Amino acid sequence: MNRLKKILIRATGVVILAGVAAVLLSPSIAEKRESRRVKAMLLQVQAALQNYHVDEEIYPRRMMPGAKLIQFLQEKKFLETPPENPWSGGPYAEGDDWLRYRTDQLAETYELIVVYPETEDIQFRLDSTENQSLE
Amino acid sequence: MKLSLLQLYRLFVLLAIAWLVRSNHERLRVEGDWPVSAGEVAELLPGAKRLRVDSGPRGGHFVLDASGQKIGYVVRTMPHSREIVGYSGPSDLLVVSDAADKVVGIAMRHSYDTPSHVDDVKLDLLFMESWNGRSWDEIAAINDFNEAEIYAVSGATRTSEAVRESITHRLAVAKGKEGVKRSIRFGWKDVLLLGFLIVGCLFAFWKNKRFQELRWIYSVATIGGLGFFLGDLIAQSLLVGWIETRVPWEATPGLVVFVVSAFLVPWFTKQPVYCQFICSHGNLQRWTMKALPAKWKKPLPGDGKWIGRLVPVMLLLVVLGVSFLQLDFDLAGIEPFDAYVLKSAGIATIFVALIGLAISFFFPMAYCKFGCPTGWLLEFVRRRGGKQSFEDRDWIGLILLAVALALYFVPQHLLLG
Repeated sequence: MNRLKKILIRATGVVILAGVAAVLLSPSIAEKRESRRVKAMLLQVQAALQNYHVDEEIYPRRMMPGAKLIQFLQEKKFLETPPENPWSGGPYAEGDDWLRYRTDQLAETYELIVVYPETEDIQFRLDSTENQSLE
Repeated sequence: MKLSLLQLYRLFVLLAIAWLVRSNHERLRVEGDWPVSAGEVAELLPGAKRLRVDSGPRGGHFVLDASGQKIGYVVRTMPHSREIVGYSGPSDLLVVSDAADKVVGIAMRHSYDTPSHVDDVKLDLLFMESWNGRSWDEIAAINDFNEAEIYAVSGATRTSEAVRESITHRLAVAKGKEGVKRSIRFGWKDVLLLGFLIVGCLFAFWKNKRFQELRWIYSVATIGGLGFFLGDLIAQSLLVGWIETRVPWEATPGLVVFVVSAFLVPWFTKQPVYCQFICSHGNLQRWTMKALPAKWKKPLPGDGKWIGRLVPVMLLLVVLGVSFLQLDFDLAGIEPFDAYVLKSAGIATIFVALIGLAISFFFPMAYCKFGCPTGWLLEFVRRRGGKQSFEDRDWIGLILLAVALALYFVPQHLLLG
């Protein structure tokens, strides 16, 4: 009985320690995973934007949130498979993404900006002037 | 089992883990977000089966054949050439050379540039093959592309110009780095650190009674001088940083000797000199445990001790996870040592320091015994007297090595999605 109690106490201790390790690491792992997914999505959208520019000689004229941009590029056939929403893990829907598309008055340049959820702090920026790669 | 064999095993475990951490970091640095694969190299250099990271100034990969023989070299131009923009973005190119260091081909890996222009460049064989047969040095030295007969691609001029500049820039950068020379700078801080080390060793090995009576002065000096003034305590953040990048032997030679001695002295002599005599936090705990009467102190039950001894191991697993997965996690926060650097200490490290000290009022030296991952490593390599056998610490060392191997070999996309 004593031996069983001892094993139980020690096993509980190990489980608690594993839980603490998971609590320490999981926010950073989740952040890293999300950032990898966001990068992959950004590159897919950027390639579609470049293709749009080759055909139309301008970038899309309107500023729009990510979901709208993706829908627009899909309708124009520049994005065959829409990227997965990196934040929700599902398809893009209005209001649950943190990608922003901007252009200038003549639609000669583009900016793809990803902000940290619920903030206006920029996480990634890809544009046609200064930040042209994610590396 | 012979003592020397066990001691060698312990040193081997530590060095093997350190090698894996370093090698993983080098691999991620060289490969970046788009790792080079042997398959894409084989298209330009048939026979390529494996790649080995070159941690030297060129920062590429050695190309190996099936027998492990070096048959060439490969570099990618990103991220070094990310500032070189074509029509609408930079390009990542692969430059493959043979064993004689002559380029056998280039390939476009990925581009942020306009896809149709990139395709024009890729399909222009005259342009793509104009690099072949040239050596690394020749390409790095090119200033005038027309003189070198590497002409831009008509219809994709800006993209091809950026491609050729990216290649020469990437190769020239590596050439520039080859010439960097380092010289040792031995300053007063190094002298002070070595002083703390030598005096600590004297207290550990010279048992003269009158000299030992002065230990309290040394203890206060380590807290004030080594801790609060120098802030040079051995910590996971320091060890991992050194292993991942490089040991700054020329910038802080005293600290390097200090850290190496902290591991080697107990490994050779059984004396835990750093933990028992030098560590500021250890010494501070020795003072706190004297603050309350002995009757207030409670010994931990056996199972509590057993679980408590696993805390540093859990923290070491966290350290491995953070390093191998390159997580955005400040390792200084899991230990109390950065709290001594008052100007820059984070909340987490201050919290760990204060909690550790508070607990040590009732459970003497609790942090050292049940919380310190750095102390666990120093204790792991320490030689012990008496009959030697494969102990719990040796099994745990093996588990840590196995975890490091798993994190090294399992592809990151499986772990991080």
